[in-house]
Order: sequence, then structure tokens, then C-alpha cells
Amino acid sequence: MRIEARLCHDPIDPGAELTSFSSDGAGAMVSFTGIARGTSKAGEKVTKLFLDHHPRLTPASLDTIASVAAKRFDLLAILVLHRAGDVAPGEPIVLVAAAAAHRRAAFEAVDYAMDRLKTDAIFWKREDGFGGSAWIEPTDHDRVARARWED
Amino acid sequence: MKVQFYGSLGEAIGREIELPVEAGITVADIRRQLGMLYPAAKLDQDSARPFLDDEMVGEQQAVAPEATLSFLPPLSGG
Repeated sequence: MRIEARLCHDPIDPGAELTSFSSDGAGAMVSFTGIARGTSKAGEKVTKLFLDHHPRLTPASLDTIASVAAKRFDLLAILVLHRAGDVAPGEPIVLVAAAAAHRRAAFEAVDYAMDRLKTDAIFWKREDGFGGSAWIEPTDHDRVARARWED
Repeated sequence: MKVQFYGSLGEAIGREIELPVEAGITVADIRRQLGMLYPAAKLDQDSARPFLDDEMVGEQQAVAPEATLSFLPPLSGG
């Protein structure tokens, strides 16, 4: 089982990462790329997303989420990449890929990892726009999505 | 003592400050001092969670003057 989680301070290249993401014996590989939006929930233009992080707790939180997903869904490999710092609209913020013997495990692992990342990854996000900046909190939707994985 | 702040707290106060403290000080004492220095900052227990050596600690935790205490606001998530 190959588990890789990285905090990225530079832009993520999903094509390059997925090209090198492989696993012997995998019958399925699923990936998700999250993209920074250009407008806030209120419909205002976002000029930049800023993701603050903790130097040790943040990468540790990515490692934990990747490891738990890999074990829970019996994966062959998992890749979790997450940006920190300034992210421009249209740029990838997060990439999750999972390889498994069969597709169901791969689909569910990526879905699970994303729900965990949305609530448990140690980041603080700020949307910057022409009218000012606002720090983001997880939504009730994120919490409900996270709760559906609890035993 | 070094005190670090993240997220909105870091923006309000700064990433790191140096706070003069005496031996035997607790997290609660530090929180009170910070509240007086930064009255506009959200430093209540729900808005600023204390971490020592990367572990969350309680209000009665004693903090050595040479330690680094961090306050983390609620997460935004990824």
C-alpha cells in the first residue's frame, strides 16, 4: 500500500501527478481535483484565496487522512496533495487520487478523503476580493458530508 | 515566551509575539494577558485553542517561559 500526502507551496500539476501515480494490480484509479473559485458564496469576485497552515500539524493532518482512507477502503495507493499560501482563481487547490483492485473502493476513498479534508485538514482559508477579505468556516453541508462516514 | 497565532488570529495579532511572563504561568493567565493587550481579537476558548508542543492543552496547563504556545482558531478545513 503506497500512501503519499504532500503540502504544496507551489502550483499543483494534476496531469503530471496523475501520470506518475500508478499501482501494480490496480483495476481502478479515481481522482478528484478541487479548483479555486473566482466568486464567493455571496457572488462577489475573489481575486485570491489564501490558505494559512501550521508547519507541523497541517502536513500531519494530511498524512492522517490519507492513511485512514487507505486502510478503510483497502487501497493499493493513495495520493493527497493540498496547496498552502496564495492560490489564484482557476488553480488546483487539492488533488486526491486512489488506486484499488476495484472501482467501488477507489470512488469511495476519494469521496471520503475529500469530506475529511473539508472539515479536518488543518487550514485556515481567507477569500480576498476588491471589497476586502473574509475568513472561511466549514459549512453545515461540509459537516453533514463528514458525518455520513462515521460508524 | 513566544506566542504564535494562526488564521484570523495571526492576521489580527501577528504570526508570533514575545510575551514577558513569569515562571508558573498558566494558559488561562496568558489568555487574560493577551485579552488586555489585544481587546479586539477573538481570544475566547472557542475561538482560540491553545497548543503546546503541537498538542492541545487545557486552561490550567503551566507553560514554561522558554516554551512556544500557539493559539489556533476553528479550522476552515481544506
